[in-house]
Amino acid sequence: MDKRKIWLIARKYATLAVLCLILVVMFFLTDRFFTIKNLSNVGRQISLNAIISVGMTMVIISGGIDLSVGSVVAMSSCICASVLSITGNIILAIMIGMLIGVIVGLINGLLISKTGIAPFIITLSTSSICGGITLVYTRARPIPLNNTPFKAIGQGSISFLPLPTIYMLITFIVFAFIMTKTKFGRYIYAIGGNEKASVVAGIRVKETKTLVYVIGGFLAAFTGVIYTSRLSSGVPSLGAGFDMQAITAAVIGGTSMSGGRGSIWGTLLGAVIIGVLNNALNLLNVNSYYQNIVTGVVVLFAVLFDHFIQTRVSSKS
Amino acid sequence: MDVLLSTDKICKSFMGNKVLNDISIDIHKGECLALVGENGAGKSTLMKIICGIYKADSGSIRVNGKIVNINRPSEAQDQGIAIIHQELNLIPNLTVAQNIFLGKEKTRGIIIDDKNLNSEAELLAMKLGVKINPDQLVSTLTVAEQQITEIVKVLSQNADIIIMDEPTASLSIEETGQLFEIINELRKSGKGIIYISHRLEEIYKVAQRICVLRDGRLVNTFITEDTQIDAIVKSMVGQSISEFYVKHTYEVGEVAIRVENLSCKKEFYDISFEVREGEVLGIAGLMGAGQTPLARCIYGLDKIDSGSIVIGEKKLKNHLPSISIANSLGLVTENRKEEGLILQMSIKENIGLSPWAPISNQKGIINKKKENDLANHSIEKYDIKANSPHQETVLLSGGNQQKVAIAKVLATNPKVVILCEPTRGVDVNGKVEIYNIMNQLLEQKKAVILISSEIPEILGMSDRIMVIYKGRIVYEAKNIDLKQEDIMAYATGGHQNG
Repeated sequence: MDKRKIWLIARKYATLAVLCLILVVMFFLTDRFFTIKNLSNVGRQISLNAIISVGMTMVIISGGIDLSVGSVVAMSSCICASVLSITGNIILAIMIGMLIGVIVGLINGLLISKTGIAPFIITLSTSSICGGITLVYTRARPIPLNNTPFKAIGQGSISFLPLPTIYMLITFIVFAFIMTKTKFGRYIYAIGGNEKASVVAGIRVKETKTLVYVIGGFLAAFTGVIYTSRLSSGVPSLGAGFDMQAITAAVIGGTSMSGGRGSIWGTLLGAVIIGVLNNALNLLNVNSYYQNIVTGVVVLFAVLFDHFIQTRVSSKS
Repeated sequence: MDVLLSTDKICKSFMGNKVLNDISIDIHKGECLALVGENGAGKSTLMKIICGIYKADSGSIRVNGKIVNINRPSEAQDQGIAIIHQELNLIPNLTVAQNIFLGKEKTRGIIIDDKNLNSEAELLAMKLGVKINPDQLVSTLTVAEQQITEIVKVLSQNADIIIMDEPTASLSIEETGQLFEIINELRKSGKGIIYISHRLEEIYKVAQRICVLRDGRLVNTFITEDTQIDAIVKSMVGQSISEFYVKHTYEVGEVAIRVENLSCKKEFYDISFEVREGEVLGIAGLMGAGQTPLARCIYGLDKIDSGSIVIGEKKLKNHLPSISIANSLGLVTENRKEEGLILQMSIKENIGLSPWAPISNQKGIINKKKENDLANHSIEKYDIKANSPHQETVLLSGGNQQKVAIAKVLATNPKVVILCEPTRGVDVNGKVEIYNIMNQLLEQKKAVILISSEIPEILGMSDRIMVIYKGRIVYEAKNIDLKQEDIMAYATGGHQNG
């Protein structure tokens, strides 16, 4: 029993320990890491992917997966840019951009919960469809923008904190609250843990699952809009690989791919670890190809470690 | 007669619970031996030992007179022992012949010789006097045809001893007849068959000898010809209903739930009953008699074909579970691990799982104090033994898991509670504690529907009893001076509408 507790504590704090380790190593290796400029740069880099990861974490905890978020980023970016360049109305452009995400999420969610077809397949299809629509609509060309107030949304900062980092923090606080303190959050865990038992308990499983995908799509579209502002253009090729990065952050943060287990704050740690690691390797002049290898190794270790602990914990019971 | 297989004083315990005690049986060439007993009597454990799934603590198994050591299923196969499980184990997307010869396909070079397989499969089936289409996909077969495929598969492995576990559970009468003819063919060719079933009338038709197990002991072996069905039933249930049924009786109030002419195709037909406040209706029946689908339909997990459910004033039809709960109906499912609990969640989280559990404010934000109060209150009231409310339910014993599952349902404050097999896999102490919870419910004027395949439990805890057999109510009475043997006879189809 005592050993089991130790393993559980180890699992809880392992990610944090890894992050601290990286920070300590960087402290000794270079003095360019702990500068306000670099740290705010890291913050800016991780914040957008981290926002997508929040939605992804919720989807995975509910027992699903969403491969369409990358395409949604591109689609909402291009449509937001297009609306802005035609109307010049910032609010309208943002609203329509976000609406795209909500609609795609709703389609994903309804298809998944009504048919019971694997989320992997459904979101793979919608991803392809959305990606295609974006390319057709833009003829694969970026939509340049020239709107200074709109730029501020993604490029501005409050003292040393970039605005996207602030959006990220707010997103994390809001959804961590939802996942831990509300019934809706509790049901997401319950559905991922045991869908049949959730149905018997009277939980509206279909509605809850649908809403989770809507949130995932909404956050992806939100990210798309901020990117559009940051790059000052709608970019059809944006978002490639974002889905995998989001899954990576969630998994490093301790989210179980089979559902029912994970946390929003864990995902933040996961996203920060990936960001800090990439930044560190950059500062140390390591070729960016190696960064992929390192990320892969980190994920593998995270999963192996989790598996190792899981077997210890359950064999004791 | 030659003895094909014999067991000698087999014993087996699970975690200190003795489930098999000195079991010695033998099976002869050309014989069908029936193995009967109530749930938990030890039939399946014994079969699992013979098949190498479990290892006996002591005792030995002889095949053709020689002591053999069976440590894993493949070794049982080598000894010519085969089992056909109640849930058939065929691969749906392969053909009949491909399934029959799975793992031992004849090849020419590296190419599988499907033609050869097909003709051999047909030949084997012919020996049994049945026709099969070896090219047909298993997914398109009826259950009976799948069973024949399994039997042919077993024959292709040169099995001499064939164990059939509840083979007729999902067969029609004609299909059952065909199965019996096949069994007779098998006997003629010198095979031995161990036939496990609850259905005594069938056993009478097919078996030459009947072994009765009770509480892990072999209590009797009967020669079918010389035995009356009553004697078998008596020896199955034993004589004493033990003391631990402690049902209290309360004054019965208004009708709380009324079910009228409820039917669900292929599961149950024309079921009507009502239950009053403070009353327990016990629904007895063998596993698969239709009582589980009945509970699921009443609660709204499965769709009803016809009939209606009335709770209080409200009529429910093809409703969702959430509507049931909103109308004060609760269901404790029979399999707590699959449908009752979220195992990796804590006791506290499970108890507060239902949307109707009083743990949050109106915006759906969980109130920690309310949540803890509910959990602590339930733990105390239902005597759940745990280190803390935060303990994961996966770590609890069966009885305590069951109490959490019940507490979860009761947290929604139902007026009508359906309990399905509430004490399955629960030890004696846990059982008594669950019966105490039932008494608490009656005291609070709740109506209880107790569905159980354990007849002593039904007799011990019900005010009225209904017996269901093959989806129909075959008997209904107040629980006064009822005999276990009678209920058992109705549940096994022994009394035809008697």
